[in-house]
Amino acid sequence: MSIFKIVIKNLTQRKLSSFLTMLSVLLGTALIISIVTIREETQRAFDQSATGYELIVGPKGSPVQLTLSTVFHIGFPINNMPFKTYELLKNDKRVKLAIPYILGDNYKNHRIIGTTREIFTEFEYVKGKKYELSEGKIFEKEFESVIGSDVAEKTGLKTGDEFTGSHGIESFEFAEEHSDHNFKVTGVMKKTYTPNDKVIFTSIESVWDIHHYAPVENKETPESKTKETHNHNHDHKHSHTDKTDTNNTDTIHSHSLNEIPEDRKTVSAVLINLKSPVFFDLLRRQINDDKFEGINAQAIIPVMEIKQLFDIIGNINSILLFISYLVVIVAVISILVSIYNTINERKNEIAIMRSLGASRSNIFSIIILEGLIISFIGSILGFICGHLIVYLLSPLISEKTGVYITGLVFNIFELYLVSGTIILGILVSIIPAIKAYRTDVATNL
Amino acid sequence: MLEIKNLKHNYKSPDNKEFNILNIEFFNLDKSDQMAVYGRSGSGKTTFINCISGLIKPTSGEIKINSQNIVELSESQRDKFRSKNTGIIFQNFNLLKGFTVFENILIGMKFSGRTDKKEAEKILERVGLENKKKFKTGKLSSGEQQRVAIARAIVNSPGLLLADEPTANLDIKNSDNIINLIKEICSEKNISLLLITHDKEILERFDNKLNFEELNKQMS
Repeated sequence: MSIFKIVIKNLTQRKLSSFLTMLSVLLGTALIISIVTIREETQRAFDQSATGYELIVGPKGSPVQLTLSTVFHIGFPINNMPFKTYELLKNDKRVKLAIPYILGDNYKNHRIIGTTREIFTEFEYVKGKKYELSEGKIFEKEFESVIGSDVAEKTGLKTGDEFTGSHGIESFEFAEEHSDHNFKVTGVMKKTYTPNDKVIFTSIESVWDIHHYAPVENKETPESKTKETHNHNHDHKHSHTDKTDTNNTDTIHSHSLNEIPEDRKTVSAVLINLKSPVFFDLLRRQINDDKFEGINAQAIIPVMEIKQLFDIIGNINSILLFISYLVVIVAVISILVSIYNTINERKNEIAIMRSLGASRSNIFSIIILEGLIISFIGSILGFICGHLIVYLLSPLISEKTGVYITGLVFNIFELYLVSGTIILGILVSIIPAIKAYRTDVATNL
Repeated sequence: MLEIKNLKHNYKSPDNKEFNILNIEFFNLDKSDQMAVYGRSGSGKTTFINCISGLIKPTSGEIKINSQNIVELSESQRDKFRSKNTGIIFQNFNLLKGFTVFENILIGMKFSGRTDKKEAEKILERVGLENKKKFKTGKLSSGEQQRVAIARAIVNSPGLLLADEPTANLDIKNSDNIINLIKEICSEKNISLLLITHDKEILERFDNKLNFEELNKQMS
């Protein structure tokens, strides 16, 4: 019978105490692992999602709000800007690509975004990667749409299906349906693991046509940040016929566009890619200083906004992490308490082993091995549980933050944490091991 | 086999005064001899056994087992020596309660550096417990527990078996059986036996008897 078997036997003899001690180590480790994994993965996902967006031009207001609503589809857009802003930017010689975004309604909580076909044909969401379709084709006509892979998974929509959007950017029980405007699915996007997997893209004209957006006000007001960011004219009469009359149109409903007054054509944001990085600062400064063709807007770099956001979140994260470290330390101390308390009860057992020829160092190693096994199993299971927690929470996190996390990204820090916990477990076991080592044999037999 | 010369052991009382507990000029036990030692409580019999087993280092003197003076050895050397050369049977059995009968025997082997499951099974069969090898020791009767203790003490084929009041916790019938078993096994395996008892009936079963108070000339 090996020392290891003796140790396992000792631990199983005190099942409840061993289990609870292991559990405390497990919880502490799992807590740290899950916090670190969520932080790492969220930051990476945020950074990655924002990399394709060099510059975003949107209405003046909070740059973080503009980033979150445009890139991550979180929260409400600041306001709308005149379509003219987009046209001016598109025609600027320094601009390589300008894509308009207008937030429309939603279908089962999936936002409908009005844009141009360039989001599929030109835009690279990560360097060298464009959005691709797993089935169907890009929208061509008004009220045609391409749905994200998550939308297809969650709603069951597929190419050829029709759906009706609900009013507003989020579903609620009494949301009004635009039953007179059915969208048709013409394509489904391949999964990109970006927030755009959960949105529906349609032509900008489709969104305008449904809403006949109100004229743009120059100044942003707090009220403009509420759920309704646009005035909705439900009494409007659509001059175009129903969706079946779009069959042979190459351009997207130009006839209806003509009937929408110029001051009602709006965009929520414009995604900009520049011909050269040298134009970057100048254009941004011009827009932000209101020196670009008289437009009233702001230009932001999403990656920088995300960095600033994480700098703020990072402080809270550090506090959480600090608390988790304390939990692990308390858990490791519980190993000490748990083993130390048993030494008095085990003095006779220790003396018997000594009488059978066990040396003091044999007894010392048995106790150290007990601490090692508790901390090893506790921290390894904690590592697994930490990732499992993140994996199980990932749908919720994805829904709340718009970023995809898997719980399956591993970090060298975790190796340090697990090995550190094991080493601490061994170190604290030295105290009860010394007590066991000193047990007097003759008096305890 | 066992030779003791000028053995002295003193105890320190809580008020730091020294008391002599052992003062033995000479003691000898030949190979395969079986000797019973008797004496009143507190006469130092258990201390005597603990010194011979190496659990206690005496204050001075010589204890030679198979020509090895164990008093000269360090504590860890004495532990190793004990595991190979000396078996001990206690009054209160001293079995490891959370372990099975078989595991108790294997632990007896472990610290001498052996793992011979077949030998362990043979010994269990010899003490009549082959059917109870998977039992936890707490589930056994007193007589059975002492049989496990005997099996564990002889599993490493020691040259010397020390038995400290091995029947004190047993009824008459079990006492008889246990003494018979110990004597038989020691004869079979040529093990020298030094048994301590205060039971006169058990004493009568031994040809070689010694009054411990005559041997130990305690100094006041």
